[in-house]
Amino acid sequence: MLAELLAGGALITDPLPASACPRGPSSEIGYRTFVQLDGDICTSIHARALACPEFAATYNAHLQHVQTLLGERISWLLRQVRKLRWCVAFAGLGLTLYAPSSWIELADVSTRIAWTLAVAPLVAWLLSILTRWLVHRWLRWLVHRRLRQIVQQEPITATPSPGL
Amino acid sequence: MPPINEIFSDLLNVEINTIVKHSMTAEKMPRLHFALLDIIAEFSGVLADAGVDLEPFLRPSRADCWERIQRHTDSDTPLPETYNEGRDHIDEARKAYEALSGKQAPSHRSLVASPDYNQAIFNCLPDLWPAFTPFYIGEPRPAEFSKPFAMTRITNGWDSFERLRIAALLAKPHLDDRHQILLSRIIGSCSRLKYIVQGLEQRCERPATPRSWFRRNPQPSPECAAIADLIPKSRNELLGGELRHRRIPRLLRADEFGVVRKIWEVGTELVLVQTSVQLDGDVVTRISETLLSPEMAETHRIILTAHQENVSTAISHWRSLVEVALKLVKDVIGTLRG
Repeated sequence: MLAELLAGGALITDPLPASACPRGPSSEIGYRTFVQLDGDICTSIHARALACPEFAATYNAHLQHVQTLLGERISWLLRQVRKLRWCVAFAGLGLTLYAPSSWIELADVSTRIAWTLAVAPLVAWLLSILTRWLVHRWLRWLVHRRLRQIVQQEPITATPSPGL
Repeated sequence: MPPINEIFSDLLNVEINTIVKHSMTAEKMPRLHFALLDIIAEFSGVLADAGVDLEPFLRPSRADCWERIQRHTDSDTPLPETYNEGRDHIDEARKAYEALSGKQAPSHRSLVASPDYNQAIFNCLPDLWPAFTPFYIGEPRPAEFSKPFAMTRITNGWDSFERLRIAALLAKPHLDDRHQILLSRIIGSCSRLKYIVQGLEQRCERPATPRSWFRRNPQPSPECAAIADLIPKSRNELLGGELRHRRIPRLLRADEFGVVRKIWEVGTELVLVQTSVQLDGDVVTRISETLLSPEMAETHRIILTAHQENVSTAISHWRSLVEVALKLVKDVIGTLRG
């Protein structure tokens, strides 16, 4: 769909009005609109459709069809744009992993960009996990130390059972 | 996927065309190699209907044209003074070949002396004018009646568009006003297609891209058809080969494909109303004289109203596209800034 949208444009067709084809449905169509991604629109109208009394109604229906399809395509494009942030991050990560080490020079601007986009978030994520683990361990150590202190200050005394 | 600048490169100008046809189907554009043949057939049909004799332009093979150009370039060949223009065609082609391939081209003398057809240099020729001078084809005089022509030998190569372009240019002064618009469109379309297809054929001469960190496998798969399998080929050659079992690669960039698609779509149809809206606010509407004729009086208003609605749809679609482009730019900047 992306390839079709980008290069081929969109072709929207609608049949001839019923009164324009008295012999029943044929392979011919009444309206054909070709939309390119840059916004250019080329609408072809069949001469028989133009001569029909219901031209205005059928042409409006065709326009409605065109607008609905274009609306769907624009929404789809917007969804793709929203995904772009992820794509850029993954592309940067892929580039960094794929590139041979000799190609990467830390002074190089492209590497900095790749670093910013891909490696830095990864390292930040690892650091966050490490930090969380350290904080967790530290808190556990604090709690254990405090408990140990409490236990040492108040030694447990054996209380005889009332039955004994 | 094409680069982003290509995708949104033509957003500065919106063109809306309204056409009335007498026959129309929902057929989609076929693959590029067949679409080029469709365009050639349509243009040839229009020229033949106008009385242009296409046989002198379409009959000579590439080798014949090459031989004529060689003869023209050879300063020893006596030619009338008026045909001296274009004697440096082979030199221009040699320079273009060297720039393209990075290899040394055969010497001018050896090219002119050898009778062999050199496809690589032929594909770098700036044009084919010397092969179709009146010295070879006589004075073109369009006839009153349609001139038949054989489509079987015609290929989808760049030279077919060049032949049609020259035929249309030579016929233009001899044809009446009703043919002038169509001839201008054929000449313009053939020029653009010649440039695009010639570039495609020249790609075979380019040195192969070496394996790099960016491109793992520069060699195409054997299941995939090569450019030489698709262009220049006649319809029979395309249908008779083993192409149906092979994958057809994407040959053109998005902007070039858009040009071919539009030429295939509009063809030689008469555009009744055309509106061009530019980013700076200029709006140009062209109305065909046919629409203003007395027999179109009834449909005049209907078509203009329909076109008006088309313009509204196009503008609203264009606005949405600009919004998408702006959002894309904002997101990219936002990502880079972290």
